[in-house]
Amino acid sequence: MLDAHLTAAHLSAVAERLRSAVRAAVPPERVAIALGVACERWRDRDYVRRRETVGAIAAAWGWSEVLIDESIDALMAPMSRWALENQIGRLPCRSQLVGLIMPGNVPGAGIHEVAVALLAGCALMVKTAAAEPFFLSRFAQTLREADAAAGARLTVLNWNRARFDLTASLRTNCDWIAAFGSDDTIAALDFSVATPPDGMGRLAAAFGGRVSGALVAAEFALQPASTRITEALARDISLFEQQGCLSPQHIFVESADSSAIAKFACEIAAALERFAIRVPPPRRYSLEDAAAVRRVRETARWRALGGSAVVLAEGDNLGWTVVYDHQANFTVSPGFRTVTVSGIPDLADLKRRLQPVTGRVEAFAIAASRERFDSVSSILAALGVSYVCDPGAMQSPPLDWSHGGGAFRRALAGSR
Amino acid sequence: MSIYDEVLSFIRTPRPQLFDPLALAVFRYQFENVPVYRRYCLARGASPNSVTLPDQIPLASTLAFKYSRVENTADDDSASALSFLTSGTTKGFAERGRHLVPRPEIYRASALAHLRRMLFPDGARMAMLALHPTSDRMPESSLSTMVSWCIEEFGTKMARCAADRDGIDTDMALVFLDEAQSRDEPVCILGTTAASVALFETVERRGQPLRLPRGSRLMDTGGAKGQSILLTPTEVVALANDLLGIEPALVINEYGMTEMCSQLYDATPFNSDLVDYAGYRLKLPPPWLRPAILDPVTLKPLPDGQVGLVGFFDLANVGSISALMTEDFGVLQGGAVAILGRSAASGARGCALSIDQFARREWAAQGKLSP
Repeated sequence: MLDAHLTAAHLSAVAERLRSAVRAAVPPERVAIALGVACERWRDRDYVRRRETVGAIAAAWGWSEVLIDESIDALMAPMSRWALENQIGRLPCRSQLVGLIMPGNVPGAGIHEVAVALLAGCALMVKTAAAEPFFLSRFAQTLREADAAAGARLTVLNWNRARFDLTASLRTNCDWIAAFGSDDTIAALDFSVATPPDGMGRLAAAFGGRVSGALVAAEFALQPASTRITEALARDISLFEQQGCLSPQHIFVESADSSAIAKFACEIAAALERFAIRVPPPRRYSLEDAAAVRRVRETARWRALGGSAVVLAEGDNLGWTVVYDHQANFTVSPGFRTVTVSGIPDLADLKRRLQPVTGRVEAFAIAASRERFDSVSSILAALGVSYVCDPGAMQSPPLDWSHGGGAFRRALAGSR
Repeated sequence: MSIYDEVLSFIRTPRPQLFDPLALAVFRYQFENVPVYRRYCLARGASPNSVTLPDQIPLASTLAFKYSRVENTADDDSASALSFLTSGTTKGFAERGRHLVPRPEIYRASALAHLRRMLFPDGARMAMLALHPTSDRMPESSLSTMVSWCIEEFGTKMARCAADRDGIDTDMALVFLDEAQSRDEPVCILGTTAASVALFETVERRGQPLRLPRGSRLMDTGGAKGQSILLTPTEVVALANDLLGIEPALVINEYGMTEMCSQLYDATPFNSDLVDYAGYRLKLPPPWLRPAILDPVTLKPLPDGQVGLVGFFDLANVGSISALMTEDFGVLQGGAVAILGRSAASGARGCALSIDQFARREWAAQGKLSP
């Protein structure tokens, strides 16, 4: 998929075609219909391009096909034709060429931004990550098949990040760009490829690393009905092998009863095990990934053996890991279904526990009564959390999700 | 004969055929006398009754020494026991691991016997320059203790320690090396890789490389253990040759850790017939230290040539835990190990914050250098 033959001249020619496509009169309603058709096809597990994509990712990354299918199902769930059409009036009308530099950690990441930019009337030149050249390139094919004119506004290319000449060409040719990826990727991009002097290709939206968590309120934590919550959270944790910014990494349970919280952690572990039976963990891990999960486990194991109030539950091999650590502040996970469970006496304590990741929290699942859901949402919104939802919905943010605090939508609104 | 005497006897006169039964005896002793290790083994379903081969002995993460008290109920209160602390420099947090060594004479025998084989196979005694505090200056450091033992055993009267808790006095080190050069007396430099780099920088700044007498040597340690050292092992060898005049074969990197009483050293033409592995120098263990490479997913041993986590069974650790799993990646090749580096806290994670990025933020917030 990596196109070693790409040149800056090629990108300029692509940009020219995309600008022509933007100039062609394609009303947003038609774009919404085209996107709706494409998304509908991608919601079908038997759709041939989806099968190719799932197979390619499974082969390249070692993830189970079932997991990738479940993850894509969750990602595409909010992309209904109704939801797409519903966005039209809420978006500014733009006819610009936007460059997108995509992350490689989860398949389909950035699909929300692709959809809203197209609905706003923009054309997109997308550079996918070397690690994930699969999803968006095939999605673009589906869009072209659904509607050639709408599809002509989306071109997906793949080149190595070391090809600074191509990334510079992307910036030169686009009105502005948005970049997704790790902090290092974003910093390297800004450092290595300067904004062209005429202001073209300015980095208008950058999404660095973010984390997500979950809160289980007292009224839900200790009830028999909590099984429904633990099943939903296990799904949220497991989808995309916990590699995305929407994957919960730490669950806070509101209770003063440490034994009850430990029991809740055991129930999370049991739910992860049940999920793993149905949706198997990866067939293989990179050495670094495996060592990172191993480190979490060994740290918890020896802290427990050393007398700390820590409980470790672990699946076969590295399938899933739950660390109950009552007093822990937000703990970043290495992914691969690794989660920390802690107790908090009240919501005021949640703010303190989130301090280590201030400004970095993307999403929170909240299991609470409707009344308390709203008050918790307000607290989290004040902390910069952009998406709150019920357990089980974390990987299905709506189209109007303010990803990363809404930088992309602001860039879209602010651009001329 | 006590288990300590048996191990000491093995170190003095290694007989490979006795390694397995002695390893099982050491395991049995540790299971009985190191409560935290016993609890770990039982949780893994292992006991002296079920373990019949050394491969079945559960390896404990070196993190055990950081997060639990690895105590030997039979021996920790012995008058001669020593307690060593891990440096904590690579972790970034207050917790420091502690290794209680109830019988330091075994540690000493292990350290000196393998130093003799790997760093002094020519039987030389020479001037000694310590670029790490000696044990009188930093008694809690196992490296300090080793450096002091090395000076006592292989040094002449001309010895100097150019480091204390606050750092290295590279000017003092240079004066000492200039003296050794002018007296044509070979010198052995001992310290961390970071200290060697500091010395190289000082010599470079002076603009006048040294040509240390033939037979001079450098033992550096710690290069691959996550410290912020910008030089590769190959560059250390090259700079030691260019700036100090030490032959490449006599620049010997040590791989050791506070948690383990035995060490491995670079195999070079000076001390071995082993050749490099894929550009990495192989590190040779002593006969009482058996390395293994583990699959980080299953923790099962991997065959020669496959990369995994480095583990050991160290008979010299008889007083604490002998079966250890490190956080370093390596490859086994004919009983020797190529150390490929320390596993990071996980690599790039796209839009998700990685542990490594998080740790850097934490460090920055605490006003510290990156881990």
